[in-house]
Amino acid sequence: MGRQSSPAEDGGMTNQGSERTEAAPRLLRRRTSERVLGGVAGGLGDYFNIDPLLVRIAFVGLMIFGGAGLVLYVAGWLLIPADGRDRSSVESFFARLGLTPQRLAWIALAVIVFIIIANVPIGGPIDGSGSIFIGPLPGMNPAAFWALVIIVTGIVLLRRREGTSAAAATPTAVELPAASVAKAPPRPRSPLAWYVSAAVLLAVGVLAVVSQVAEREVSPGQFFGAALGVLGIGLVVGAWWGRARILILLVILLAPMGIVASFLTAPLEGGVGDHTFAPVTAAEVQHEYRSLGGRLTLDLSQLTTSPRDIHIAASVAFGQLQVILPEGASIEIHTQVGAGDVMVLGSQDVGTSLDGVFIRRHLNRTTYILDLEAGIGEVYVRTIGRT
Amino acid sequence: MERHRADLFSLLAGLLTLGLGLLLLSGGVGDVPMEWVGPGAAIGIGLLIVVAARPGRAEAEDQPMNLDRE
Repeated sequence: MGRQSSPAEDGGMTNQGSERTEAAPRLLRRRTSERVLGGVAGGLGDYFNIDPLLVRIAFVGLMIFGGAGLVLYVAGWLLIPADGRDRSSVESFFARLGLTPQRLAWIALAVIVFIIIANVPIGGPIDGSGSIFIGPLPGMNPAAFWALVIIVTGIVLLRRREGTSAAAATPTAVELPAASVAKAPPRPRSPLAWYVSAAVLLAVGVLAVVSQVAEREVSPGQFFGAALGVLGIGLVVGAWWGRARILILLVILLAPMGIVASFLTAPLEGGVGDHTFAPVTAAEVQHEYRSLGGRLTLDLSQLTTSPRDIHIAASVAFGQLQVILPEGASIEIHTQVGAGDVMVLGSQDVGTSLDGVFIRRHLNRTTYILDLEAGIGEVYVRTIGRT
Repeated sequence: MERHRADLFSLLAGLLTLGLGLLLLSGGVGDVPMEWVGPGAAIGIGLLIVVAARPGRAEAEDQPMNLDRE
């Protein structure tokens, strides 16, 4: 499975008669051959002298449990140079911008000093208070985030260390036998991944135009579906012509997003966070209450009785929608949840695509006609007595 | 683009991706029984690992096909 490491890779130096094997430091490099995707797992396996399959399994495991595997793999792909190269993709990019590692280090130091001086909250919530957020993305495990920071720092430090040791150990051109520096020519790059990426954008763009022209609503999940469909076709083509395995990274990124988006049946409107509305008079009642994410509480328990029915549409794309009604109220409630659960007056349903209607009418009482939606989350309706 | 020997890994990943894309495009994700999603994903990823771990795979796939007939 793993490649045989040469004596040079083991860091040793041997003398056998007149033959001399040059000592070379073991370098952390992504494989350019015998790889599955970007050669990160293979490179780590070579570096630590372990079977790359174990590294791949670790990446997949981390991907499933928390999603850190994907982030780590992409980070490795970007930060570890390919075999035969001195610079990683990120370093090449910064080099093109004229940013040397030293300058980047100074910038990083300045940012850290700013964070300390400005007392910026680290890993605090996104609460809309204007404070700078430095921490994991919403939904990302904080432990995974900081593990990623540590690992990326480790890779950078490793690269710095090997840079100095390589400089010290690299023999002169005169000392190196020609055969030892001869390398197999790199495989020509395939344009297929670029073609497919362009096709993905075209497909999504055309779908958006068609939905506008035909006035037919296309859900976010369907846009992701179109993108994944094109990526799938590209990969199938790449099974015989050209190479496009890098697209698998895009698939790994887009597939979970697409699955989540496909459950977003609720309108993507409103703000983020916990919001509570407690109208007391009918005039204060809005027809619509929308939230993009968080908890939206609609407390109608203290609403004065009205001669007319009260119509309200409320939705939460991600999170909980809670409605509190006065005890004994006359109700007509329509619920729609993409994925999650519905709990209306003690009746609970859990699953996906949950549609329900709850009607309880009492004569001579105000009827609350509610359209309640949650994309991914919970719709919770309960009653309490008036105070 | 040069034709090469069949790359089973790309083929399998492509078919799985195409299937998921069509499912999302049709809007039928909500109809998929959730209890089958976990096992399905595990089987799919397992197949990919098996295909990726085949011995001698890389050497064979890197060889361009000789389509010229003598």
